[in-house]
Amino acid sequence: MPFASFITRPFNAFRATFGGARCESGSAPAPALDFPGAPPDIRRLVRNRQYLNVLQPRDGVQFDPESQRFAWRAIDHDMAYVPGGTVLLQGEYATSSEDGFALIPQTIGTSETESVYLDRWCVTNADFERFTEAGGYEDVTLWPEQVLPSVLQFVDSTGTPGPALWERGAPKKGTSAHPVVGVCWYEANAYATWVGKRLPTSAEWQRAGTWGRTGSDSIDESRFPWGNSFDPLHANTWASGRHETVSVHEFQDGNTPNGIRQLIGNVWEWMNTQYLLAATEEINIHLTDPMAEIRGGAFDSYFHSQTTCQSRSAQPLSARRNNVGFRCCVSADGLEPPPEN
Amino acid sequence: MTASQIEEPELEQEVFCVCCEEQMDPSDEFCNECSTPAEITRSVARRNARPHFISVVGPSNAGKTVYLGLLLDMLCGGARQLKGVPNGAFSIGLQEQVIAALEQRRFPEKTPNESDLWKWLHCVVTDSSGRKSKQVDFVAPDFAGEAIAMELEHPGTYPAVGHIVQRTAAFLLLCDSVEVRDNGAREDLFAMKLGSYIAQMQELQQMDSSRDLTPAVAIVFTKSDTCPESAADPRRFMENNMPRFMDYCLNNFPRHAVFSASVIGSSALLSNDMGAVARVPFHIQPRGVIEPLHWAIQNS
Repeated sequence: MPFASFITRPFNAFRATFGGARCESGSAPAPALDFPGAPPDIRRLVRNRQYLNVLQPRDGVQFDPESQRFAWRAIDHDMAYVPGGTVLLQGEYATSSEDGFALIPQTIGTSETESVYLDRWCVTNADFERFTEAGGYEDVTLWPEQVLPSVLQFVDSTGTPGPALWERGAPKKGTSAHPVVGVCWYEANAYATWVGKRLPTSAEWQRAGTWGRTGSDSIDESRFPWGNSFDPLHANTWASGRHETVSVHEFQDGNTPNGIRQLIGNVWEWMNTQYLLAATEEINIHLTDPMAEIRGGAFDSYFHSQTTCQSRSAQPLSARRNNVGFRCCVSADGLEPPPEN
Repeated sequence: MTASQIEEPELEQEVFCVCCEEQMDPSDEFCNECSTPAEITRSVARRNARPHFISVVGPSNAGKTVYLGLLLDMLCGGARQLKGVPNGAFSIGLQEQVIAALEQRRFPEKTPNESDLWKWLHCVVTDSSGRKSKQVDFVAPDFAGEAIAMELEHPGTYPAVGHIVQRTAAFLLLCDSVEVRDNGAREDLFAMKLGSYIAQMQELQQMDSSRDLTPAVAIVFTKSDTCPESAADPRRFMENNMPRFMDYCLNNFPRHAVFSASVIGSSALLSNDMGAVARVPFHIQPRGVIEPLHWAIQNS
């Protein structure tokens, strides 16, 4: 990792906690973001978590420096800087033997990642509700053309546009700070586009979970953001006994050193990486729908060996599972923070 | 009675097979009549408690071994209100085989047809969901599906199956959701056959109708991760796809309930040049595994 990439960023980009109070309660509201002193249009964009549109406006019209400073304050609150570097990607290939089919672990190879700002927590129900209320499901610019017919089927349990498990266009009471689940890869992408961000690649996500603990002279990565040994108090997996999603405020002992929460456990996270399964010659792989990688494991992941920073799984792009959510990122390249003072 | 007051039978003393009650010699490794391993009989005898037979039955490839192995592992890990302690190292054999395979993202080997090669488990399960906690000695063999099918066609081929079915207080009848959805009549008829075999072995027709001594039957639709219809509403799924067996249960098993279960979170379907087709799991996320056992314990 080039040392220069560190010193071109203000130190607060690496800060483990943002300016707001640290909240441990499971029933606490979703992390709020509001700057009452900001101009009304900026205030609305910040509340909707669309502050990246201030720094990288879609129509190209630049905002004034004051508005940009508010956007940077929002980034400091919501996102953590992850310096670029190298990760070692692990995968598997399918083979068959007398005992049947099996997936054999294999090293895919190293991957260079660029520096990114990554959401400190997964997109919450409260965040996603702003997207639905703003007409995200009706905005054709947010969806790839080939998916448009399917968007009509992206409805909740009462037939209203929204995540699969919601009712009448709203999440269950008391879950506003829980990661949104029941959204397919396309819905995750549409939301990310709406807020001016994107989904991270598998390599970027892995880098975020391991960079702070990777030795400078080796590519040995830690298995979890907190070290190499699993601890059910650090991540909401089967072993922690909760058996459902929890608020993004919980399990903060499992944070990365720069304050990214719940990379491991609570919900699997959609990646901007297609899942490709290698196989020996005699094997045919039957996939009805392309798959994307998912990372991190969820509240119902049984084996912690399947929820490390290196392990991966996959889901069809249109799957709307109750244990898959997402977080967003944005490339740091081209985003120059204002001077510290 | 405290633990110290329980008279532990000498290991060397003669015991009667826990399954068929045939007398066994101290040197016997298996029961001569039904091939039940002597260690399960001795394990139950040591506990000095009435064993509670819960049998996991179903056609070949319904997922009985994975279900039973994972169930035991979950009990040992202290699933919600059910906790289990395996009695004897042999009880861990099945758990070890299944867990090692699933963690490596493959399915365990098929259960052999020979009854003396079946793995058994004896687990002391504590149910603390009620006001008073209840403890049962859960005894179950991992039957081979082919052996069950053979026994249904030719009763007496596998004496172990017959004896255990006779003594079973609760059945977990596993059916592959996708097979039921796609080949409903075949699965429906197999379940009917199994139901009537249970009724015959337990002599339900001759029972005094004023007392309900029928076994509890939990119908479990497995692999529901690949069949959302069975996961959404298992009873309706059964009514729609197994109407004959549904009707049979209503008439013959007053205590029955329908569940769905899955073990896999995501998988890929593979085939090879030899014509073999199978799924490989990407990750493990159990759903609905404990609930049927919990119901069975409470209703038997």
